[in-house]
Amino acid sequence: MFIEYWETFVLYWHDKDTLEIIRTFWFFFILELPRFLLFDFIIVVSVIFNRKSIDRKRQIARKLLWAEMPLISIIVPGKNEGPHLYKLVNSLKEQTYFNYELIVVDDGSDDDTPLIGRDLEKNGMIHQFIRNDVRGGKASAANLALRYTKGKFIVHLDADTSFDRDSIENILLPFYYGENIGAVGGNIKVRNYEDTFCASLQAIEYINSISMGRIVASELGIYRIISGAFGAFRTDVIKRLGGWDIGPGLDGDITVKFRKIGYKIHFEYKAIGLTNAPTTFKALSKQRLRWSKSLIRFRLKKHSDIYLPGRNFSILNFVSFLENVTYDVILNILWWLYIIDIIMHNSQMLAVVIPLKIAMYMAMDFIQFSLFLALSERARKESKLYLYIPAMVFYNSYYMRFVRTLAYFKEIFFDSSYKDPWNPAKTSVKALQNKL
Amino acid sequence: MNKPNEGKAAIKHIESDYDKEIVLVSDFSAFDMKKAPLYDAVILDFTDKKGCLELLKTIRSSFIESIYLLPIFVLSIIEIKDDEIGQLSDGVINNIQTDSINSFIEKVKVKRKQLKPFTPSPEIDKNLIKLLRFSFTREKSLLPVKDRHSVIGYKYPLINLALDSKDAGAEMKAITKAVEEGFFSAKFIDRMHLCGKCYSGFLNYKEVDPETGDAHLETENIIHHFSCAYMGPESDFVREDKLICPKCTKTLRHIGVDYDKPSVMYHSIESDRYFQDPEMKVECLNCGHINDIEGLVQYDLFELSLTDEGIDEAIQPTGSQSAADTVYSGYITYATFGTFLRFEIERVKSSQKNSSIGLLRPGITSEIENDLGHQYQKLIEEISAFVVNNTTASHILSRSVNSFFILMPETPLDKCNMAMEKMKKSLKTLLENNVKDHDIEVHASVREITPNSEYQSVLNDLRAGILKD
Repeated sequence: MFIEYWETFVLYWHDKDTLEIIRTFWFFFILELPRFLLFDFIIVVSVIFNRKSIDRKRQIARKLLWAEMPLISIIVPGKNEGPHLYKLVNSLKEQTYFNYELIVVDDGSDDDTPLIGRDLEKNGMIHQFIRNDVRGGKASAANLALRYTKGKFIVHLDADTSFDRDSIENILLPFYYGENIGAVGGNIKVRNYEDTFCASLQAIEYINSISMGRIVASELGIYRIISGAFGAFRTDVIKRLGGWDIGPGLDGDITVKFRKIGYKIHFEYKAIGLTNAPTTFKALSKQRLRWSKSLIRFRLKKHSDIYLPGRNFSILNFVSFLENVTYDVILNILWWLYIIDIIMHNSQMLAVVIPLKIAMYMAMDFIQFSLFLALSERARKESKLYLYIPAMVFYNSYYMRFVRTLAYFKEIFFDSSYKDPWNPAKTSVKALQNKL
Repeated sequence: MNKPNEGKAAIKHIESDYDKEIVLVSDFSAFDMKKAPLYDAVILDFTDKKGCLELLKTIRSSFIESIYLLPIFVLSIIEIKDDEIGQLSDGVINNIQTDSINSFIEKVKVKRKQLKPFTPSPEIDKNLIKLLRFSFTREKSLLPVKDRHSVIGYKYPLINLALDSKDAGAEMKAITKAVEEGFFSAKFIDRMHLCGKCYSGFLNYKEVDPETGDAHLETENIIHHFSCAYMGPESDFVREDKLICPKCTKTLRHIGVDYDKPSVMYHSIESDRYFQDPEMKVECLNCGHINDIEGLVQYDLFELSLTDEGIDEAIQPTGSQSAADTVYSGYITYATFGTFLRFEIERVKSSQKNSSIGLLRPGITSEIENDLGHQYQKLIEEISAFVVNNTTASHILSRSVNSFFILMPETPLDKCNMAMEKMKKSLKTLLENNVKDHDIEVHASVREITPNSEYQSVLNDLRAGILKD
């Protein structure tokens, strides 16, 4: 039976010419391969070849940074984050860059966070612990911290993020070697990738899609989302912008606000932060529904003026949004048509076409992952994840596309993000009223 | 009628039907302290408030018994709100009623007759004995009074007279010692928090910046504007009489709908620091020491009432016993009894054989005591002999006025109870035969001594049992 199947498989390849293959797998060859592999390859090769020049620039920036040694403000807003605070403080104590103030805002926690925070503040491990008895949402908590910052740069963190020893120093360097850089995104990786199968897949996703995607977007000048878990901002600019607006998706929103007033956003892949990813598919689905809904809310609704010619029109912002909407929304919907197209035109050969399609995506994931490992500082450790690469096609192509499609549908037709308990109802009501 | 050497009306003899030397003093400078023992009672005119209090203090601060135990009344037609006068005097009167004064004089005299003279020795705390005797002769509790000149803000007037008023610690120690030794029972009046260094009650509680110690702080509400997620101090929003969001310029109209106030922020003016958890510090205005709240000394003030042991000590101070002790033949002192009891508890712990203790008390009130006069002492001696004869050589006995403590080693509670009930009945018969005019009840109480017993609580339980009997 296997021999028969193999014969059919070989015959299929033999009978089809290149154009027919491209016709069958048009979505992969025309839309995804160039974007997700070709660009990655070019950028990684470019980074490798320019490594010396980049290192030189970084060295000069490092000297400038240390010569100035500005005070920076690390802000950590959050609810019920007490259990993570001690680890966070210790992670920061190990940093090579030490001239910082640490401000933690407790957004109405109902656990022991106030006790833990106050204790750390009394022992001088947190410079300012601000407790709000009533929850206001992450944006307002971040804004309150922002109000009391004194540093030249703001570093926004999630309490459960931990850092490589030079992460804070690295995230500051782009401000000293780049021109007109308003904000810098850190490189978030998954700390608990060995916990569950779900976490392992996300670890690959963070490397392949998120980190790699951001390196490419940053090099192309269309990087548009600084992770809330680790990002740095120029204080003068973020205060001018009034800080964060109501989420969910406030990290993407603040990045767009920076771009809109003409600042560049840089992704610093050497500024490593480790975070815990959801360990179950249920929790992951919930998180990704929220992320995808915010894409619709902010890219298509709140910041729709990006697409229109006007005084503040910027071609890079336009391209950035267009690329984002095209690849994350339009192609996501188009993908279902592609599947229908494959089924309709290859109904007799599905047993060959589908495995072939899967094999192609696996190959792409494999190459993409290998490319990133060429740049990674912990390549050996991460190489263990090769084992999970075959499953990524199902994770990305089927599971994630389904979650995203569901989120877009809910957000476009039902404004679902405004009902998300991630934000308190009192702020969501106002956000909906004001179309924020 | 004025005495010739007492000039004008400064010291006026009060006529009465009783043969008593009662004088009214109006000019306090004319009062000769040496003559105080010659009077039965002194009435101080409150017209000169300061002079009145000064003389009252002078008399009570004496260590001569016939002076400090002198009955003193204060004459005033207006109400006196000074608690110190109430404590030091024997009453405030608005007219001179010799009947009531005479009865008080008599009462004090009877009590004073019971007091046994003693030779001062280092073992005897004369301040304590003075307190006990004053309280005993007046049947009066010692109460703390509020006094802004006192270091702790309160003082026990009589105790304070004998001690350095600036040394609050000495007064506290004296009271604690008297209560611990069982001479006074203590009823809670108030709780004070005092400087950990000098025991002063003049404290300034203040919130300070936990980092710099700066007390020049201001507080501000934090406002959260729901629409734009701006959150900051109220001053960011105040524009004339309106609240306008500095981020989106919208007017905040309705709390709970447009905005809320989730917290309060402290601002240190000197250091320009912001924080939410100021430290509470307590500055002593007496010595300048900055105390933490935890470093303050907690001191409870009590109403001090004399106990039976206190009465015993007042009548005959421990360490002053001489020939008089032979009267209580077969009895050990209360203090020694306490030591025996402690040893017995330790012994029970190791032997695991419980012992018992009993208390027998004939209900002889002060009226009965007065009526009996000299017979009273004879009756008590008879009761003492009765108790000795009805107990065995292994029992340990102690007497405190008319309370008889009986420690019965290795005796089960039921046996002790039976013995006590038997003694109670026999003693009742004895009293009925000896005292015809009064029906004197006899009360008894027993307690078991177990390995878990605690010395003081055993004695307290025993006394409480008497009250219920």
